Amino acid sequence: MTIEIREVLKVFLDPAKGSDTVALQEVSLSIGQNEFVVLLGPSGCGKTTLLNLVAGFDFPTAGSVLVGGRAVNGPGPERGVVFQSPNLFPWLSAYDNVLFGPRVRGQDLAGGARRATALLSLVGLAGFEGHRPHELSGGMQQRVAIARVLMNDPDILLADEPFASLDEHTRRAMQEEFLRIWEQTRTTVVFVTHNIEEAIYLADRIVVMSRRPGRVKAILPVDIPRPRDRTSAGFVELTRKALELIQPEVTV
Amino acid sequence: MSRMPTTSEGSATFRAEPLSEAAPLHPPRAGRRLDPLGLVLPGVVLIAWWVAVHFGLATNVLLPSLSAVGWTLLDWVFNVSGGRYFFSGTWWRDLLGSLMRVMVGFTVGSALAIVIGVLVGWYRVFERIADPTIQILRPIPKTAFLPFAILLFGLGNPPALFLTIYGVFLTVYIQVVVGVKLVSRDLKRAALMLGARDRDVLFRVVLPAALPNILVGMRVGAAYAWLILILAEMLAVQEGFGYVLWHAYEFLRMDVVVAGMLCIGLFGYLTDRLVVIVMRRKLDWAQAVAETQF
Ligand SMILES: Nc1ncnc2c1ncn2[C@@H]1O[C@H](COP(=O)(O)OP(=O)(O)O)[C@@H](O)[C@H]1O
Ligand SMILES: [Mg+2]
Repeated sequence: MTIEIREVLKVFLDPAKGSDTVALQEVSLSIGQNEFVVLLGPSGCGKTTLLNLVAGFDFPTAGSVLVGGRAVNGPGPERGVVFQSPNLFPWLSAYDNVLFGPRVRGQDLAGGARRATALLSLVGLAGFEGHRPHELSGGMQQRVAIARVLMNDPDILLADEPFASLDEHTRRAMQEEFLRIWEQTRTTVVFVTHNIEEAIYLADRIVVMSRRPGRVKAILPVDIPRPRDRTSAGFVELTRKALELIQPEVTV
Repeated sequence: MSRMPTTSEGSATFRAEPLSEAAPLHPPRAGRRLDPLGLVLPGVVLIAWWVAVHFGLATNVLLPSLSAVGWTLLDWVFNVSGGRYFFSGTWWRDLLGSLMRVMVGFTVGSALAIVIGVLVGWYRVFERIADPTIQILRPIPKTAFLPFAILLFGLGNPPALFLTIYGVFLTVYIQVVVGVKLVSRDLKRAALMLGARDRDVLFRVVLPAALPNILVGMRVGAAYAWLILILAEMLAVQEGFGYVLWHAYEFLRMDVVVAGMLCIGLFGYLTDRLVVIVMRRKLDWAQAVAETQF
């Protein structure tokens, strides 16, 4: 499914302070079917805000967000979201977390049960079905969150810095895993990160955002064939380019 | 479905991280048997009581002796005096009456609080309709409604039940509303993006997530039920622990008053344990997340 973001403006009003925050300004972006797009930008530049507009958690102040040609008017199961923190339901086991989607959608649970088990092993959690979130490490919880979303067969996967809180080795392993899953499912992906290496490793296209108010500063196509070698000349060259674009946007 | 992993690792493609986070830091507290440390303060109080009576530090009227309280309890329960006093042998009647009123007041009051509190916490329009009125009623001491309750219902169970239900309702209500409102936005968003409708979000996410707060409210409500019921019984009912306690005071029988206090304390404690048992069972996940035990 395609995503069209047209001339989006997003202003947050704070009636208490009487001050407005312009989080996004004149953001336009087209994302094609099955494309893997990474939003890259410094902290506070509006990445989460933009993702929330596509997810339907929030609405633009001006401009429009179209998914599959229709204006987004709320969240829906065809747009799965993986949040920065796993956000699992803590009273449900990993298995029941994964089955949450089919349950609320009133779907056939007999097939769902088999599929949930299969998805949990797809994300490397075979044998952990009965574990509750607090019995799993952060990385394992995030994998349950991914399986929970995949269970709905979404057309679009929205991921907001899903691996940011993981250690470097786990993060790289998760990136590989995420790509493997994407190659199997071929959903459209919008993946937010502030990590340049992660962006280049994953993306078909990197959308570099400016500091607040967030705009699209540049678009970097990544033409390196997968699996990508993080130490190859092409990778390093692109890292340098991205750094040059990002550095002036970082304010301390 | 196996509840335990067959191996300590995930699938072959993905090395599971060590489960150090999964292992509890402290082993579960050794049983829930009587902790000797908990007996220290009651022991001190008993000794101080005995000393005060033995050395005549307080007048007999104010401070009955341990043995007087013991005999009174015996008479209250078993009528050893052969019906000499107004309370001789009435203990079972008093216990069942008070217990019935507390249970009805607590159950009905909590049920109302949960239904109305969830509606107010979840639907803005219910909040606008009901909450202002409830907030105006809250600062009026619940006991201040007793005169009206007696005039309206006469003496006996009805005014006592009314007051207990009302008091429990207000106590639990606040906690239910707060519990519903404090459910994390992201948890609700997670449910929505998975395809949940409003009703599913309420029943499958908001209610379970608000349960810790709701049960805490019910625990406070149970204590409140006893408090307000005893007062109602003092003035509006002709039986029950509160009635005996107040009637005894009018005869300056402080031994009976102390016996009544002990009974109220004991059964108040037992109803509290009842709520705690439910909390332990329903909130095992919340306890595990916080690595704690109630
Ligand atoms: N709900 C909100 N109310 C007010 N300001 C907000 C809100 N959400 C985000 N902002 C502001 O919008 C800007 C962009 O935030 P965000 O999209 O979270 O950035 P990022 O995800 O890139 O770090 C920040 O300045 C932030 O303070
Ligand atoms: Mg963010």
